[in-house]
Amino acid sequence: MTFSGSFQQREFHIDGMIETKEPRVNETLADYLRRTGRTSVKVGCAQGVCGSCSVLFGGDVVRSCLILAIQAEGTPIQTVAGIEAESLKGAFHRNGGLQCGYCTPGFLVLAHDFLERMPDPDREEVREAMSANICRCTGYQGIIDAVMDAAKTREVRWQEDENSEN
Amino acid sequence: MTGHAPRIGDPLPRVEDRPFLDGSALYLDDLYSEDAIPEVAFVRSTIAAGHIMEIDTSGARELPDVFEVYTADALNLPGLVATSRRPEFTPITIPLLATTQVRYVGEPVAAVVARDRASAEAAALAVQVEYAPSHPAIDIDTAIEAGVAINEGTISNVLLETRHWDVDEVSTALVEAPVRIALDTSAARLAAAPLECRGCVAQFDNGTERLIVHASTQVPHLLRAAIAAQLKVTENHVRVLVPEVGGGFGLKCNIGREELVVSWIAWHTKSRVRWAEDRYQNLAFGFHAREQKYSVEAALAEDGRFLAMYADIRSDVGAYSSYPFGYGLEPMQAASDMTGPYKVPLYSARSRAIATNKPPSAPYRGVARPNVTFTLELLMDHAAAVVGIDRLELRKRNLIKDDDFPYRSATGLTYDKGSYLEALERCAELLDYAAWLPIQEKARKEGRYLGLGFSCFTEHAGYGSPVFSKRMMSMTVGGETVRLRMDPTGGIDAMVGTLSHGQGHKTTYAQIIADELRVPLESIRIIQGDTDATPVGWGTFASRSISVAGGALTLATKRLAERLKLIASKVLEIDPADLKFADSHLVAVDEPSTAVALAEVARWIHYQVQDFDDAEDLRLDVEATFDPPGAFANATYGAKVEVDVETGLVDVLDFVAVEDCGQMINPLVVDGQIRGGVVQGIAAALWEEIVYDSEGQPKTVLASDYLTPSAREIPDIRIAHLSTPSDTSMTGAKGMGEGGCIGAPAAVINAINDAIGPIGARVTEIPASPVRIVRAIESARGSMT
Repeated sequence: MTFSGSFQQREFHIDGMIETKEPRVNETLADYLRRTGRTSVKVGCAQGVCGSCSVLFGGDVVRSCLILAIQAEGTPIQTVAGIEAESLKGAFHRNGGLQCGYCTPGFLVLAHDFLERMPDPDREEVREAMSANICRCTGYQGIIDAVMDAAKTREVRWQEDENSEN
Repeated sequence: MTGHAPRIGDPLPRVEDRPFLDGSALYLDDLYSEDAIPEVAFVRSTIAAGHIMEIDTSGARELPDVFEVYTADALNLPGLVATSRRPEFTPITIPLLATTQVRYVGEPVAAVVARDRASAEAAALAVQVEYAPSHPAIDIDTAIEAGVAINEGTISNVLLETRHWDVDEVSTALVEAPVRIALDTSAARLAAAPLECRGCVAQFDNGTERLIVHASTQVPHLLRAAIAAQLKVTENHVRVLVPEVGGGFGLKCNIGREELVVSWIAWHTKSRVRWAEDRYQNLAFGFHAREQKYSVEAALAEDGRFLAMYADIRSDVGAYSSYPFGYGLEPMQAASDMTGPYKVPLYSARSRAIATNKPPSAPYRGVARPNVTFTLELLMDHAAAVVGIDRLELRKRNLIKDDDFPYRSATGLTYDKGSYLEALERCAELLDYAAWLPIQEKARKEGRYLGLGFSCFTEHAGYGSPVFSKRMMSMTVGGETVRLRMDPTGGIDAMVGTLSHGQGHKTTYAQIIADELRVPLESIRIIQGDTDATPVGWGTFASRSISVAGGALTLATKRLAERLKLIASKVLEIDPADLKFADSHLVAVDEPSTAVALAEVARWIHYQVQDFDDAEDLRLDVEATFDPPGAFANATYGAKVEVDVETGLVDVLDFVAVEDCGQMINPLVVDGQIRGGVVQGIAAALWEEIVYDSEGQPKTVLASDYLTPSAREIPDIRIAHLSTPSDTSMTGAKGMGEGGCIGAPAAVINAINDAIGPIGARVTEIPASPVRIVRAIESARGSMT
């Protein structure tokens, strides 16, 4: 029995770039992303529990450790490098939303997707959404504060845009 | 260079955040992620106890992409042994690979090197090991009674038994006590479970004939020392480099067998190899902690004052003595810290370390103090109930007070000034304790069981050799030495031997420097995690870094400041005493327009050395060492819970932390440490447990088995700060990183017991899982019918 086989060249869409590579038969999307240099995707458990490997798969948050690389062929994949999240990152920074940083890329992908779907959440909605991922350092409060802060900043920006259109 | 110069005490967001947010920060497994590096996988024992009859590696060797398989005889290495000069301590050697016996499921028996991880793991499965199993001892009671000792060179599984202090006086006091109480508690085995598991990459560097080891560790110099000892070379043959570390909590203070085997393989084959621990290995076979049982008895006066206390502490330390701290740490710390923040005039303890056929235990955030506090604080509530007074009043009568400081405990610890009473009162206030009883009663009438619980505790931290030397280990952890340099353009480098892995040292250390030199944080670089570049240090653990390294930084900064002023005084022709630092300049105190940029000062001493008679004494490259006695931070925590008496599920509704760590360097960082620790403490109280079956097979093997909480299980944690600065740390800071873990379990369990007390039920075991709570309630109801 061999574990070192590969599929033939396939097309992957990662962070806005198209690349053609041979995915291995036994590798997950997380493995593929990491060995092609996208090390922001972390493997904390390889069991789909911690969410450190979270990426956007066709616009939906998924655990990349639970998807085989071959399954990602042709679907736009976004890691933290492929999303526009400057104000969210600023909010994490201001609110103590990170300590060791290992869970941070996964939380940024999760929070970015959440705020796109629910731009004006209350604190309990944020807490519920953020419960998808594990953090061992912060006790979560800094993360929840950050997402609430980011929501407000977006709110302000949209209101400014609306006002400027009048 | 201009920009805002921060102060000690500023709640600054961290300067180091950007790479973490961008995802470009590199952790161990990110290094060489695109490269094909041979990987090491370990063949591990599938039984908990027995002899190795035969190891057949032929099946593995036949597999494609397998380079080599090593067993213990191939390595022929001394193994790891933590030693102590204390007569009651029997050293136990950890062989790097098992030789003739295995002592826990998962113990490494052989190492396979293959082209990649999958091939290595497949090959490890193909190694056939024949065992002659024997019956394992999996719990404390079985191990104590077992006929055969688990470890070589020991006569029983009681590896350590100490009896301390006022043994006879306490026995007498207990007999003569006006009020006598007793309590038994037990705490489950836990895993530190940082999100990033352990790992290392070891590479033989042909050019320098040295070994370069990248490792996810909290203790770079200790790792270097251990590697060099196994390879039998001087330490300068080894360089340890530490990338970003994804959490540690004490786990990564251990020198593991895997790091040493991997280092040996790279050294021996003159190549590069990698090893990464995965979550399954981390939970099932990794270092564990905190499995202890306590039996305490106390003699009280009629008014609830403690007269004497006796504690019998049993610690399940697993199959080996973890390195470097050894199996004595949890048992000894439990015994010496048992009286907590209270005045207990007479105290004695019997403390035993018991070997079992499970992975070795090692320090996890708080070490024994979470269990000590859990036990002591339950005892306080129990004492209040027996004596018939309010539980906060009972504590107030026993707390060490202002006039008592410095207080020398019965165990010989000297408690420096703290705010024990104020913290308790403030916590009670923040939880509106005065209004509690009617609220609780009303809820009970509505069929809801609410509880409020408190926990008063201290955290002894920030100490160097004055405390560590008492353990009489072969290696005394001391202070820290830092090196501070200003380059010819005014850039500042601080080289430290500690290892920040989430604690924000790159900001907090820079704040200490900037506070004195009045420069922006961007002009300061904190360098850690390179045994070539930093002074020899001890790493980050035991809440020591900010007090010990911070103290050394304070001294070093003063030294550098003196030299800068001496050089500037020559430029400006002003007395150094008339100069002050402001905005990256040295400025005449009386004449602000007379100033020189620090960059200019640095340029002059570097490049115009002929202008100075004493240039060698003015070099902008200084060192300082700080080795303090440490201090006691204190806190009172309070938790409000609701218990569902049908299901045993517990909701933590509110949590308050009133803490005093002296001078905070950065309140944002302090609050983050408190909250992170509190959540781990709540988890220890309610959910986390590492379980073994009666044959010693691990049952907690998936991330979903070991219940680390998510955001949904945790309420907002309210924090209030008091400040009693330490007068022995240079900055006034006291260490506080472990406090959350230490105090939180007790507050939660006391709250649960407050809720179910009216039914006559009580839990004394953590985690207080739903099953345990329901059993306690059923047993209480049963005994009432």
